[in-house]
Amino acid sequence: MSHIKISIEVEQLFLETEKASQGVPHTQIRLMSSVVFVNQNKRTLSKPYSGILDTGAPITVIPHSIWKDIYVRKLTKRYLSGINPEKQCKILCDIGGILLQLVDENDNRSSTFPCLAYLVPAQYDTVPLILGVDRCLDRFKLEVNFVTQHAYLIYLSA
Amino acid sequence: MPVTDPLQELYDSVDPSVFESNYPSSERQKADMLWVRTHREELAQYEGKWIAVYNQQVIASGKNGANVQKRALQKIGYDVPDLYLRFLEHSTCVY
Repeated sequence: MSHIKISIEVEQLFLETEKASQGVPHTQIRLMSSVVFVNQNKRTLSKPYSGILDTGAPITVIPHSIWKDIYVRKLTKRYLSGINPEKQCKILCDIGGILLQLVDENDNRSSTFPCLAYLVPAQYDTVPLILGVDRCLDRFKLEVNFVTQHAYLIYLSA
Repeated sequence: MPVTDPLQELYDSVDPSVFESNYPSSERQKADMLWVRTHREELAQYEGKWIAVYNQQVIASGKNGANVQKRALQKIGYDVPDLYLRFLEHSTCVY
């Protein structure tokens, strides 16, 4: 079984409060994994990209700058929305199939697997790569210890 | 009529030898990834933008990742297949 090391990205913030003399320390932590995709030419793999592991995201999200070069099969269209569900905040995206592997800095890699992804249009390129659950994270056992800052994905499903 | 899984069809359409092939990667690129991970506070000015990082320096940034990569490669002057390109999400984002 492949153990893929997850990177724990930490950002220390200081949130100012209404009282000038007070502030709230805030530690922002994200779990990140490196990802490679099968390229559009179907003969090579892409360079590694950093993706946010988001167990709250039902589907993977890929910005245009990444998916324009990889092997994609567009399947349908669907609106994508975030915290504001208003119609003007929804983005119509293609949903497509992609082929990817999760990899780490020690050259461990999962098997290649297909997953569904929102393919964000070019005009909305200011989004990160988000690794969601459906047919992506649900293929792995996720082990996270925030205290020791050790985290792994263990590939389970073919 | 049997239902086919388009994702399985997608998988079957690629020669499996591709899955075992090497991908563009180097010690420099791994160091660049680590540098971004450990310098998030210093990179706050780039939140909401793509950055291209080479030798632990941001060499291009902007709102369109493809353009950032293009400008970065022009600056370096030669092709770097594993140039580290990353979108830096805002610290206010919930994802």
